[in-house]
Amino acid sequence: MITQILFEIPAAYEAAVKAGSLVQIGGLLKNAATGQIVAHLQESGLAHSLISTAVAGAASPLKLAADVMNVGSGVYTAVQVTQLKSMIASLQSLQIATLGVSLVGLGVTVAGFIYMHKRFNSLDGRIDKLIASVHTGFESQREAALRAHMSQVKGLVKRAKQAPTLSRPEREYSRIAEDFSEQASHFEGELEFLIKVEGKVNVELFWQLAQVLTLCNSIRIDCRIRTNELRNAREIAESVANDYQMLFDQLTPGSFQASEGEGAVVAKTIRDITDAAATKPYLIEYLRTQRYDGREYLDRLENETQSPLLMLRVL
Amino acid sequence: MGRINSLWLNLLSFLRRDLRSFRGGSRQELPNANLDKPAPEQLDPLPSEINFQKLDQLRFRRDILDWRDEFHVRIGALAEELFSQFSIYVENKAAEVGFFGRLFTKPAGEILQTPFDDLVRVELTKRVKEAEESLAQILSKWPTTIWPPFSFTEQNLDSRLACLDEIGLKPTNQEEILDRMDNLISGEGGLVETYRGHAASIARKLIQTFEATA
Repeated sequence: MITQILFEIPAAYEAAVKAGSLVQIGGLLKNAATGQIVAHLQESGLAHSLISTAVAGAASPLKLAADVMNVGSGVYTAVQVTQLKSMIASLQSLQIATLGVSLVGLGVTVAGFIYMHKRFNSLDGRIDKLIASVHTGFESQREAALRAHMSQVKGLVKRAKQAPTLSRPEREYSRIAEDFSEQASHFEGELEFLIKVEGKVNVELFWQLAQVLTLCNSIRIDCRIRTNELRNAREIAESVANDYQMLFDQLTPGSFQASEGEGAVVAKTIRDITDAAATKPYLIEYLRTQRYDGREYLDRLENETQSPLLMLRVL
Repeated sequence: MGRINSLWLNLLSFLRRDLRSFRGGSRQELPNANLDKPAPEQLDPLPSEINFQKLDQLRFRRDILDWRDEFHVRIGALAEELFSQFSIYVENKAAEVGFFGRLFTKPAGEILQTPFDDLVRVELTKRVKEAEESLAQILSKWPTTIWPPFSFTEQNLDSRLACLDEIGLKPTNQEEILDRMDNLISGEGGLVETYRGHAASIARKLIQTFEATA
């Protein structure tokens, strides 16, 4: 029988993870003895708004946690700082090593398009500065193409922001998902180039491009969920996860122009991101098999005001 | 006039008709898919189309990549530390060279080979063995798979200090000697890079084996 969408708070699972009876893989928890999926970790709209404000411009994953807390005290209310702290503590308790993963979505990304717009603007500015200031292997033609694609991405986010006011937003969301697919391919190509080009990878440029890529893919999936195309959303999520493995698995802590310590944090972050992407299809499949309405699911998450992270209990 | 009005009203009424009503029956009688469907609350879950075994692959992959990355960092940090210790040894040794020794210098490779083996190579090998043991521990959690050999090899490792054969050990050559040693340990194609390459290759093979047999 189908029942209501059942969310719980991560704290309910922390002790079991610590004791080893539950195992964390990417964004899900499995029963160590039976192998059954017990719950999916899911960010809420609150997480997105909290994180986006503070860290859209963080230079690298290493600076992320510090930035969250430092910027936090200046920008946020006391309640928000507490929520942020609790979110970080939850991630750590659930053995998700890096905060970076929270920038690209745990569970399905609730693409609060207003926040997305802010983040893309910030990423655009940072990438622009980086290309101008460091030798990145980009020729002027590639630079121009990159800028053009960033503009297109920002335009798409604007369209997504306006889509709910249409009488038939579903068609618009479908078109936006298709267009984001093209943009994601472009940024994946840029990352591939950055990784393959001789020498070590510029951490900051890599991190900014990786964020754009992951956000594009997250929005693609989000749009498909909004139109209730859950099977297609799952397919996309599976293909995205494969792409991330192909792209990121080859990178080691020594692949970056950074100290080994910073390289290690970047490597850990991209592993967390890859794992979170690889478990996303399981969450989407769960929604599909339980016949949950995609739109309703996202609405529930967007309207969450108390907890930045939630657990979707598997029945 | 009244007849014209009546005709006009009939025409208007005709034009306002729902097109679907021309197919026969009134609008209310049309089959309504939503009405036939039970409410979602009454449906059983759909069968799953996803491969749950992939979760094991994912976990294994992560364990192996973490192992590779950790080795990467640890061997680099150790090499840095050992080079710094060895530099002190070379400085002391060069300072000990007397007047005649400076005129008729012995090749640095000949003098430094044994201390290099003791101070650097043995320590690096210890770290490699530790990595092999920790990998064996990871693999023991997956007993159903038959693993390919996963030991590091000595292949491609320069066991002699050939790079120091043509340079004499004396204070004026010290900087050059240390540069060459640094390159031998941490440079392109050096010991650290070679070990890291081995680790990457082992990781790749193990992941492929696991995914092929899962």
